[in-house]
Amino acid sequence: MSAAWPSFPCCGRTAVRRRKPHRLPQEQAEARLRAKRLEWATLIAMGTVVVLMGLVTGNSQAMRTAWIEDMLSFVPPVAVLIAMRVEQRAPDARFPFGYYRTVSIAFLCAALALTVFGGLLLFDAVQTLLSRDRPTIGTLRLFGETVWQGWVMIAVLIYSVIPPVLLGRLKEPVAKRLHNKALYADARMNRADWMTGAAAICGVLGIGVGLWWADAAAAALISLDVLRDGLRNLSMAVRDLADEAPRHIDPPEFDPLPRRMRELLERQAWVKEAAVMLREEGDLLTGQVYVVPRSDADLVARVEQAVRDLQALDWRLYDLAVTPVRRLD
Amino acid sequence: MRLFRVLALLLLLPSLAGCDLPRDPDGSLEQIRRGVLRVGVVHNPPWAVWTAVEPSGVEPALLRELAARLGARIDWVQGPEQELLKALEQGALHVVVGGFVDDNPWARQLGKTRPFHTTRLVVAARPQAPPLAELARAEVAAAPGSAASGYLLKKGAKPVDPYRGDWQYAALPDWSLTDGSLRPTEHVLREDKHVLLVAKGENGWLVTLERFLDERGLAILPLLRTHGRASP
Repeated sequence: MSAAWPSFPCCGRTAVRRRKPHRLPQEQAEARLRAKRLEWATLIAMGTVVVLMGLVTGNSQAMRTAWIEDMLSFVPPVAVLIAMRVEQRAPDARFPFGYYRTVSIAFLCAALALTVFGGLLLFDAVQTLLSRDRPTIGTLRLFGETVWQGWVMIAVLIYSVIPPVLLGRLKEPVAKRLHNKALYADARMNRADWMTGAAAICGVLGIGVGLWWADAAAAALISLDVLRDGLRNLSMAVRDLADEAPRHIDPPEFDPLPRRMRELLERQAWVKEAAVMLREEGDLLTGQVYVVPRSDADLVARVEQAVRDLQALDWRLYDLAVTPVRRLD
Repeated sequence: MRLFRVLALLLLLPSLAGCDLPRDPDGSLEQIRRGVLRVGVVHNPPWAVWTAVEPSGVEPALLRELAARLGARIDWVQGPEQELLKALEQGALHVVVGGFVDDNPWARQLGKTRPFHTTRLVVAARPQAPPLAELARAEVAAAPGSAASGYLLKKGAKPVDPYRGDWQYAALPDWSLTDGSLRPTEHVLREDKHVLLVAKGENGWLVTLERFLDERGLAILPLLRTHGRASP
């Protein structure tokens, strides 16, 4: 990297302003630490799930699909962990706006992976259904007994839903506190994992009672769920990167913060009118504020004070630009 | 809430395990019980041998025993491998025997049992032969054109015609080395995991077959020795 960017001949040290790094409030800093721990816990717990499921997957397409879904559940935590690491880097000459968008980019990649895999799995399941391919599941030797593999598969599937559901529940409030959409989507997907497990169990039980199509049908359901998660996250990531106005995490309503900011400004005696444009930048909010002053007296000090007042409204507000203008168009 | 549901499912499982699962989509096991077991036989001694009357060999012997237990009569169908396996795929046969191995190319379109016996093609030595440290340049008896001669060539050994009679080493299946006139060396040319082929998805029948094979696992080596006489 440094080879490609040996120096910045266009912009000497004085020419580039770097943003001051954003500082998280105590509560969010703690939540962030907890989020990291929970994501590591997810990786470890899902690791055990994936290994166990891989050992017994056998010929059930539903179980194989659930297995792949569990492998895919590594993707969002990895994306979140990488993003959290990179995001914290202070803005530098190369990225003067900082690395806050890493979250959105990582999330876009994760969402794309989910979408592609969901589509592939769905294709696979439908093809199995159409070709009337029947799953063959025999026995295995377990502690000297001959057991139908289906029972072992069901037992492992039951285990497989416990860690993600628990971790999803723990992650959800943390994600809300941090306003981290990637983490929130990850938590939601984990929480919904019991449905995958249940569908796969139905598939295996279906094989057990001689309904050969139940398995592929369950696989199709699971892949639909993966595909839906992927598309939903994809849309969210794209909207974030396309600078949609800030929304709450859940329910995803537009944040009333821009209105509150305008009201705060317009209550001030020196402000005649104000307008606010906000966008999300990773977990943070940034944007432009335009004010029409009644007089030009002491304008610089007033604008600087306005920035401080506005940023005190919400910890997510970061690096606001307040521009005095003659009139709003 | 959801966790409780999961726990409830956990408690439900043992009760389900008591049921007669898995069942067959096409009801093979039902047809076989007190009915007819249709067996395709591919000639492959000593595993399955065509005779003028009834097939003999290790696998037909095993199936006769299973059929007796299930109260079934056996219809033997002898034919070429391709034809029998197509019949199996279509559900016209219940099982095809003939020394099939786990990694056979047909297994994709068919179901198969767990391997019930493993045999090895080994290089065996005459009692007075010196120990064979490595295969390269060793003279080993193997019929010309046999798979064994191919493996030997690959490993740099020199396959010789067994009819010369003066050989010290020979490629032979491990189960045939019983009478003490030959001893196995550590050189294994191939490992075969033997399976029976069934139709796809007939899981009840498959499970019955596998349970039976697990139970009779120890009988297979003696059966092989009864039915087989191997020469290089």
